[in-house]
Amino acid sequence: MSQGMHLSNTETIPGKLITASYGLVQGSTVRAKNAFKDFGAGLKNMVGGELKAYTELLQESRNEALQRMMMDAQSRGANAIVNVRFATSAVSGGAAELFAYGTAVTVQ
Amino acid sequence: MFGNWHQGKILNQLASEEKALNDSGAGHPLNNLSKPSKSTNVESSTLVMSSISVGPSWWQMMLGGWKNFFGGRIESYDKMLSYGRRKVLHDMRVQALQQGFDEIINVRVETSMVTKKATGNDKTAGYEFIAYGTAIKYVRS
Repeated sequence: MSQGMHLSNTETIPGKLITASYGLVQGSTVRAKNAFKDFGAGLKNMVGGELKAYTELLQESRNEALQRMMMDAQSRGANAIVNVRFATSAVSGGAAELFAYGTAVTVQ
Repeated sequence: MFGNWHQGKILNQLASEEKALNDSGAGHPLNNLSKPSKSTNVESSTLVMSSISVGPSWWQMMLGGWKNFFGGRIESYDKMLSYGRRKVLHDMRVQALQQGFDEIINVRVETSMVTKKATGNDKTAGYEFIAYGTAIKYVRS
């Protein structure tokens, strides 16, 4: 997480006052799963349960999407992002797009 | 089947972890209100999230496929999907308690399918659950 950037998925940063708004900011990343990990996950799928390889991959990618969103906000001179939302979609066989968006604002 | 046994085991483990947490007198800090409920005196807030991906076993997928033909409730998927959802919320609660947050507001839980192939039959099926919310620390008086 980049320093000094407040993130929240509520409409305000609790306990702070919004002084300016810079519109929608977003960050996304498309990740394909590694063939070896996929093989491992396929084996794990025999019994079902948690697929650790996917959990890690998606967490990593989501953090990257968040980073890109924060960079976008920073370049507009904002110091906080409110109402952050996540979306995930499968774009093609074995690849997923992770998308984060929110409203860049300045808080006092 | 073996998959069912394995899933029963992890579900029981989760249930006992939840019970241990409840018995230890820990609070329930998660809610999906849009504003801090206990006080307006907030010291700090941050975005927190937890996620997991789970998949049903091949046997369950096959049974599920059969059930799809007749329609009706697919019990074999129930177990895995409810496990995933309970697990992310449990992890988030543990995270809140460990890091000393007073509450986590505006919690959302989202589900998505991560391995869907446009063509062909893929032998892996995964569902991802993600929970996220705003963690709040109040000013101590």
